[in-house]
Amino acid sequence: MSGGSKRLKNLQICRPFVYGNMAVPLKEDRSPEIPTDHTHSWTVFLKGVNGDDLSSFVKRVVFKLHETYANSTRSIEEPPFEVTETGWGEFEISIRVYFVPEASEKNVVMYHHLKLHPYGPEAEQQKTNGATVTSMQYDEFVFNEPTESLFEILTKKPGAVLPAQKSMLVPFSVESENEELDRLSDAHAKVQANIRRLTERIHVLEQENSALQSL
Amino acid sequence: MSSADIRDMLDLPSQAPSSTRPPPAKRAKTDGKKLDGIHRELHNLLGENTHAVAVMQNKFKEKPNWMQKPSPWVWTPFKNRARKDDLELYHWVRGTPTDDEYPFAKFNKDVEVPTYTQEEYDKALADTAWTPRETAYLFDLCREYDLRWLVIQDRYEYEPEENEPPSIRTLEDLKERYYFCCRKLMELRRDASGVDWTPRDLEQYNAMNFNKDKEVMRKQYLERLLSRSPAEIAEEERLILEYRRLQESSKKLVQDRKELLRLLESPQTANSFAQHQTPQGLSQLAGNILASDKNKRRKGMPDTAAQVAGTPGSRGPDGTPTAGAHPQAIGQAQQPQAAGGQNGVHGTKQTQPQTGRGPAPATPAVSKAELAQSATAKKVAKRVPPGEENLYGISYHDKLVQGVYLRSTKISTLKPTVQAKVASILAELGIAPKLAMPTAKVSDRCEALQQAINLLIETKKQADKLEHEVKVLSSSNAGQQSDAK
Repeated sequence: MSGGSKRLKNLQICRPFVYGNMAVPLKEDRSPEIPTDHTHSWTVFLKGVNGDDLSSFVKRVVFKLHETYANSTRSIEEPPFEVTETGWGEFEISIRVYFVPEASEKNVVMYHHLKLHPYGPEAEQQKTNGATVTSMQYDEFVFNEPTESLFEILTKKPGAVLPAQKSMLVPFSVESENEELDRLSDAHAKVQANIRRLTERIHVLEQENSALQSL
Repeated sequence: MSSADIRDMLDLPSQAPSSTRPPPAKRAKTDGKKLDGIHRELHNLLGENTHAVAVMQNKFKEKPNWMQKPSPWVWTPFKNRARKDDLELYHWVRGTPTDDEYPFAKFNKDVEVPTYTQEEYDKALADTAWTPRETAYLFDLCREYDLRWLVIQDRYEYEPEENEPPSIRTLEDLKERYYFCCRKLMELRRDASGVDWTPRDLEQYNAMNFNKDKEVMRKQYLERLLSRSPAEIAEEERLILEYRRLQESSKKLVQDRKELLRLLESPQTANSFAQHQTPQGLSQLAGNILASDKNKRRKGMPDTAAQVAGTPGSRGPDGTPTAGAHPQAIGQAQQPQAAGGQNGVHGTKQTQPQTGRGPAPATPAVSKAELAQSATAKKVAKRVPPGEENLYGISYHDKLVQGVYLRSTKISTLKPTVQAKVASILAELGIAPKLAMPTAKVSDRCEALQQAINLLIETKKQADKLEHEVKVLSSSNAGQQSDAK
């Protein structure tokens, strides 16, 4: 590795990823070890978009569950970075991501509210179906002025590529990004229109004002 | 009719299912604590299940025996063994008088004043100031009065013989003579018998180590202490307090001094600076500083020089790092030119240190491309084919704070009141406050949108203000006009 710890100035690399959870209601025939008041089996995860491997720059992910779980601090050192458990309640899970030592970066933390019950307009229907409930969030790691070693790691393969099409399995894609961009642009346009209208009104008012004052 | 249906009818937002669920119950505090010792007693007294009645001890006297005949008291004579004469006295004794020893006789203790023979005196106790006769008189008095010095001194009425000078003995003189003799006698007797002292004897010997001068001074001190006036006493107390205060603050002073010394000593020079003290050394040092400065400038020069040149064509030769001196010269040559604000800006920028080599905001495109030519970019270019930077998520920025963060955390910061208004407008426009996909483009656009909304709010404020003014003026004018009519 050439010159590991020098930092590349003015350089910013970002790597997208997805975190969240899936939950599925437990059926009648389940293993007797699970306490009877648990209603769902859920998995909280952190993974790359497109199924990319994050372990090249992520050393370990620590999921802190509710205190009532045994060993509530789950440290996952290898991919897949996920924790599967059973339970009955929704709570906030803190996800702390530690980077590889070559990065010389401190850890980042994010919070995810565990979703077990269906929500949204089709909630009732989904409840009766016994469908899997997912709650995922897209985010990006942004590395400002990465070290040379980290840069090498991150540029081995293109990591910031989003899948082009949206689909059931791929909730975050270029398509959805463009949708969001369009939404934002529309809003921006509306705001600009309003601003123009108001500035015109201001002109009119100023003229009136000066006219009245000269009286 | 489920709650979801009702909410649908009333157009209320759907309730998050989690709020109906209570958080996992905490274990209730168990009441089966064990209490120990004092806590148990206290709990018994104050807490639940107190004792209804406290325990009381029977402190009654025994029932007196009326049947028994009382014993008589007898007027009996007795002799006190402690007396030297045979005096017989009488006292009441209960019941039949026994012939026991008088119970108080045992308290007649004597002090052990040693007696010495004439030989012993001649050997050890001879003294110029004291005749043997006076010494003997002293010892008799001591024996008589049980070594009570005040009494002895009071009753000391030695009548010297004709050829002796009159004896005026202070209390200290008497004590000194007595203790001196006793010690000498002890030594003499030990040497004579060869039996060494027991520890108790040694103690006694050491206790009799009478130092007359010290005693005299001690008594003088005590005298003075007792005869202080209240003013003097107050003064002394004050001085003592001050002294104590000084002691404490001196500790602090010493600590502060140590800290300071440590600070002063701390920057340890790695190499001695003696080599720099000679004229040659100084010039060498100056040369070193200049060279390192040049190195720093050389890295920054291609940017500012190319900006000054302003055309892409001239970037070729300037892109090489060896052209360090030239761009500096070009830059300096351009500096006197007042041509256009751009140059002036860049001229001033040149004097700034390395980190400030940001271009003027008016030409962002040029500067970003410029950064692309920098040393960092060259390293990147080795790894990543030039057009595919997007695929790796690489971008160049002006001033970067080192470190890693999540993009979703970087949302613009405005004052909370303003932020609230912005948020409400965003809601009207149908944009959720949390971005669904915070990529670089999306977050940039969102930021721009928020700025635009901010601007909108301010414009609206201004418009409202003007409207209000117009209204006020027009109403006042109307009032004037109606008055004029």
